[in-house]
Amino acid sequence: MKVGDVDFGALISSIQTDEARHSQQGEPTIKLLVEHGRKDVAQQLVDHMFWRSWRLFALLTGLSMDYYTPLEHRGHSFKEFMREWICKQFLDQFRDFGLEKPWYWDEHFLPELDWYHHALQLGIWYWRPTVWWNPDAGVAPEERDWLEEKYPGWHDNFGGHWDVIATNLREGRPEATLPETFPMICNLCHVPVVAPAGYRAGKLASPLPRVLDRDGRRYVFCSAPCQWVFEQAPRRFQGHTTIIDRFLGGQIQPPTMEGALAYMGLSPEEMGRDATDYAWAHAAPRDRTATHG
Amino acid sequence: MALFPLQALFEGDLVVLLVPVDDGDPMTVVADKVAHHVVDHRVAARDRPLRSGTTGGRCPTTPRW
Repeated sequence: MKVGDVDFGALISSIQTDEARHSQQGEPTIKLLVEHGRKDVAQQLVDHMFWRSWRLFALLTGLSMDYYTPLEHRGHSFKEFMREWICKQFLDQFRDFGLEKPWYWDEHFLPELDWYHHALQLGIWYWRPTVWWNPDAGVAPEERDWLEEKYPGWHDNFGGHWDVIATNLREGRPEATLPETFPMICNLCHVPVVAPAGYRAGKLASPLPRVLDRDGRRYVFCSAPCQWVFEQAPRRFQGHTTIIDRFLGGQIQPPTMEGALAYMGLSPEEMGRDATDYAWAHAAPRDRTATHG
Repeated sequence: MALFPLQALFEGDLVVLLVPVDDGDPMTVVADKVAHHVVDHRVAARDRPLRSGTTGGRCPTTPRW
């Protein structure tokens, strides 16, 4: 973004007014449902949409706050932001209506604040040709220190992956930092299945995706709440196909990474590249042997 | 001999992968094909045998990674 970028400013203004309208529709809708004895419907709507929103919010806002924002401009971490504005204020609002926190809040949602968007950051950076922006790795040594401070255990859970990637870049093997196959995609949220990262971080009991066989088709889910949302309204979701379903179903030809990128409409000029041309990987790494063995 | 897709998870990796294998591949080859996408890409190589299995169990294989 450049100073004087009028189009970008107009875009942001349009988005904000649109979102302001959305935020004014939810509260009266819930109030009306509760007043007319349909609290169960209001609760189901909140449980359903909060989870689906969380999936994308973690991806967009989590990465923006903890990785894409320059270190000197960071205030809260994403987790601190979520704790204050969502876990407290947003939840208080629903309690005021007489609703309960969603059933998955303590067991699934809160633990994800420690790991989910960090896994997505690694995945999006690694599969960067599949996105239309240039992802900033955001893991230069001083940024790693900040991440470890805000998310104790970050280095053990995620730093090792970045170490392998950085080594490949420093030693002239950028091709080893690019994908040759695809991640499995959740049939509900359409985000890659990163449960193994949650398991490795000690926040999930299993690294495996959840599998549901229904009406002759196999569905894969990244999490219990995604499967729950699907099973609440299977007719709504069962006809949807992920990019992997289309790949395996023969809709993407040739069935290669290049074929899939072409199917997505991404030209080489549009595919994501590292935002700093790998400068972060060439910064002198910290010696963590004293604390991380 | 025919290609078929596997959902594959390499221990220590962060994501479940789609990995094409051949229905005639022994488990050692399947393990190598999965490791190809992960070892020295996102997970550092270790000097120990690869082990592979299905969600129902695990069987030893011989390659080292």
